[in-house]
Amino acid sequence: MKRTLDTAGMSLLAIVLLGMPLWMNVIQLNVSLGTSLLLFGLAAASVNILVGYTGFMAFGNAAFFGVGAYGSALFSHYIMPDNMILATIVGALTGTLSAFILAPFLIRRRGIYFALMTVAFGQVYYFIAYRWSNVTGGEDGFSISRPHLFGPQSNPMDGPAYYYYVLIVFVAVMAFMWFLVRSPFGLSLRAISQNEIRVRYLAINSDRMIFKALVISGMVAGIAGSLYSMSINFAYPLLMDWHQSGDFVMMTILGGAGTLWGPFIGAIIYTLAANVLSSKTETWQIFIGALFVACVLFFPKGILGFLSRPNTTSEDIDATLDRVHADALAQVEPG
Amino acid sequence: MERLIPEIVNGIVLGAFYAIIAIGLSLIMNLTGTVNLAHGSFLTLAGYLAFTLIQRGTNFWLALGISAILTVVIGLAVERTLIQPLYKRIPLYSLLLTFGLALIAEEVFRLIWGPQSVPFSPPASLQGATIIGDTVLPTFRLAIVAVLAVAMAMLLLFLYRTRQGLRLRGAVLNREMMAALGINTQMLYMMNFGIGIFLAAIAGVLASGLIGLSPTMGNGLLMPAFITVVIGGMGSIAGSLVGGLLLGVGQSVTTLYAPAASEIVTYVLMAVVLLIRPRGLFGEEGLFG
Amino acid sequence: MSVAASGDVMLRAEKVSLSFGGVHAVVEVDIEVHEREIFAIIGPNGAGKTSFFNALTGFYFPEAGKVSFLGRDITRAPNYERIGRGMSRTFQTPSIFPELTVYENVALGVHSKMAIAGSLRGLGGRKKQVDVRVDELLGFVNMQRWKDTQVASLSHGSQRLVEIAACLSVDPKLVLLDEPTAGLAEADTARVMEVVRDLRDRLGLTVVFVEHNMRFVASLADTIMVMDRGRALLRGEPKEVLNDARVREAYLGVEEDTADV
Repeated sequence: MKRTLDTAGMSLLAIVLLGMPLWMNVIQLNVSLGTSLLLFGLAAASVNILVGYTGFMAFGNAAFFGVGAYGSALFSHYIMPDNMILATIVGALTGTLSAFILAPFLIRRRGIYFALMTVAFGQVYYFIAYRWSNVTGGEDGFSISRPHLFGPQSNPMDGPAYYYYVLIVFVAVMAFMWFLVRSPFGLSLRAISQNEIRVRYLAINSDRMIFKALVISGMVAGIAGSLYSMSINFAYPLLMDWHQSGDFVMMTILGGAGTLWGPFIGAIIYTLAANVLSSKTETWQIFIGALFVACVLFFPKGILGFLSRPNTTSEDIDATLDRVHADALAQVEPG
Repeated sequence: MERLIPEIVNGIVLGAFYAIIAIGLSLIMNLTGTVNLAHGSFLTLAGYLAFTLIQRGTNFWLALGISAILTVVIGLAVERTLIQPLYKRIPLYSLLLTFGLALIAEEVFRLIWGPQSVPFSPPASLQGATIIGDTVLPTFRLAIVAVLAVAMAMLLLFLYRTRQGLRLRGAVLNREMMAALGINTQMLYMMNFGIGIFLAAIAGVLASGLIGLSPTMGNGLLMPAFITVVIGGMGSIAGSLVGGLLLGVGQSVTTLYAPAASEIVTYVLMAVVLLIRPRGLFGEEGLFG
Repeated sequence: MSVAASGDVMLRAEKVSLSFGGVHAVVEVDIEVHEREIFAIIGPNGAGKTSFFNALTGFYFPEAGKVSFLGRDITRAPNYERIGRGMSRTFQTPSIFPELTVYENVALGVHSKMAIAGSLRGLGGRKKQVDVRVDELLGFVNMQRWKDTQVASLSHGSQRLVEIAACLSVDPKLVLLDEPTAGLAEADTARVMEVVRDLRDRLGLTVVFVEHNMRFVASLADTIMVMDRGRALLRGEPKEVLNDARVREAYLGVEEDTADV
C-alpha cells in the first residue's frame, strides 16, 4: 500500500515539476515563481538536515542562502560575466564556506544556546551585506543580469529555460539528500538527534558529525541561494536576515521535518500562501504569523510527518527523547 | 578625552538596556527553555501603551507603571494559553511560536499606530541636562540608568530574599524536583515569564523616550540583547549585566573613534569572548553546552 | 583473586575524586581491574558508584586522581576516545535510540568500529559485513527476532539487551555495566545475568558492574568493592566482603540474601 502511494506521489511530483512552466502559465503566474519554489525547497532541505535529521535548531540558514546569492551575483558581475555554471559553483562554494567559518563556534553548544548562536552569527553576514555597500550595494541590494549558459554568444536564458536549469540542480541535490539519509552518516545524524551521549559512547565524535552536517547544510543552502539571485536578477541583504531563516524553518516543519520531501512540500505551501495572501491584503503578515502559531500548536509533525506517523504524537516522541536524554544526564547519584 | 565621558555614560545607558532585556530573556530561557523571539514585541507594546496614555494626559511615571502592568497581563495570557502547551516539547516549537507572535504583533502595531515613528518625548521634568562635577549629562539618560538600576535591585531582592524567589531559583536547577515537592510549577512558570516581560516593558517605555517608538523598535534592541546573553553566558544574571554593559560601552566608545564600526564591535566582541570562553563570561560548563 | 581473573591490569584508578558543587561524590577511590576479571561495585544509594563510573568512562572528568586503561593515562580523554580504546558501558536506564530499529541501534557501533560512521557513501558491498556482525551481536543477546522493531516499543528488559548488544558492537575489551538488572522482572534478570557471565566466559571480556542485586553479585563476581559515601570501604573476594560487619551495616535492612554466600 505504501509502495503504491510512494510511486503515485513521485509520479505526481514528476508531472508537476516537469510541466511547471505550463502550470504557471495556466494560473497566470510567472514561471519564476516555480523556480522560487524549487529553490526555497532546497533551502528548507538544508534546514531539514540540521533540524529534521540531526535534531539541531538551526535558525540561521538564510545567512548561508544569502551568501550563496551574493556569491554568484558578485562573481558574475565583477569577475566573470556570462558563465552561468561557474557562477553557480562559486555561489555554492561561498555558501559552504560561510557555514564552515561558523561551524567551529556552533558545535560547542547544544539546544537553545545553539539556536541563539545560529541567529546571532547569521546576522553577522546580514550586517556585512548591509554595510559593505560599495561592494554589495548595501540596503538597496545589487542588480545583475542573468549570465548566459554557453557564453555571451548564446541566447540568454529566459524564464522557462532557467527553470529547467534549476530543476536539474534540484533533482541532483535531492538525490544527494536521498543518499545522505541512507548512508552511515545519515544514521549517525539520526542517532545524534535521539541520544547524542550514546553516540559518543559508541566511539563516534559527535562534534565532528555535527560539523559535517553544518557544512553540508551550508552547501545546500548556498547552492539554492546562488541560483536564486540569478533567478530574480537581484541580491539584497534581507535574504540573509533571521526572519528569512524563520521562514525556511517553518517550511520544514510545515511539510514535515525529518522526511525527504517534507521541506519541499512545506516550501510550496508556505510560498504560495504568502504570495496569495500578500496580493489579497496588506496585513498578510498577521496571517503568516498565525500560520506559524497554528502549525506549531496543532500540526507540529507537518504534512508528511503526519502521514508517516499518524498514531504517535510528537509529544510521545519528544517525551521519549527527553527521557532518554534526561536519564543519561541524570546518571549522577544524589548526595 | 572630555568627549569620552559622555560617550561612556551613553554606553552605560545603552548597556543597561541590553542588560535588562537580556536578563528578562535569560530568566525565561533558563526555566522553560523558551527562546522568546517576541520579547521585542513586548518592549514595543509597552511603549505604545505608554504613548497612548501620555497622549491622553497621563503623567509619565504613571503611564510607565500602568503600561508595564498591562503588558505583563497580556504576556501572562500569552504564556498561559500559547506557550505552556509547548513546554513538554522540544524548544524549537516555542521558538517558532514566539517568532509567529512577533510577526503578528508588528503588523498589529502598524495597523493601530501606523508604520511611522510616533512622537514620544521624555517628560518635561526629565528633559535638559544635569551637571555633575565638570560634565554635563542629559537628565533623561540619568533617569533611565536610575530606573533600570532600581529594577535590577528589585529583581535581585526578589530572587534572593523572598520565598517565591527561592522557589524560582530552585526550579531552574531542578524542575522535576519542584513539581515533586508539590510546588505549583504552572504558577512558577507564569510568574517567571511575568518578571521577564515586566523588565522588558519598563525598558520599552524608557527606550521609546530615548530612541523613538515605531513598530520595529523593540526588535532592534532584541538582537544585541541576544548577543548579550551569548556573551554573558547562559543561566547567568551577572553575565547578562556585565555583558550588556560591555557591549553598550564598547559600541558607544567605538562610535567616537570609528562610527562605521560601531555595529561590528558587537559581533567582534561576541566572537572574541566565545573564542576565549566558549560558554560565555559567566556561563556554566554543561556536558556539551 | 579467582583463577579466571588473571593477567595484566586492564583498568586502574588512583585516588580518583569527583565533586559537584560542594558535594563530594567520589573521594579518593582506587581500583585495579585485571584482564578477564568480573569486578562488582556495590554500595547503598548515594554511595557514588555511578559517579565513579562516570569518572572512569569520561562522562565527567575527575578533579583529582588518575585513570589509566591498558597502561595509558586516560584521565582527561574524551568519552568517545575511551570507547575507541576498548571500553564500553551501559547506563542505569538503558541508553538506546528509541526511534531506530534494533538493527540500527547495533549497526551504528559496527559502523563506528569499521570507521565508516561518517561516510556519505552507501555501504555497497560492506552491507553484508555489517549484517553479519549485527546478527552475531543480536544472537549473543538472543534478540534477532526483533531486528526490525523500533526499540521504543520493546520492554525494558529487551531494551537492556539491545543496549548490551550495542555496547558490544564497538568490540570492547572492557565492559562497564551500571545496574544492568535495575527495574527488571525476575525472568529478565536471569537473562541479563547469563549474558554478563557469557561476556567473560564466551567472549573473554573484562567486566565491571554496579549492582544492588546481591545474588547476582555473589554468583558472578571475582572481586567486590564496596563504596559508601563516596569512599571505597572494602575490597576483596565475595566471601569476605559480603560477610563483613561494616558492609552489612552500610546496607542495613536493604538486602537479606547476603546471609548465605
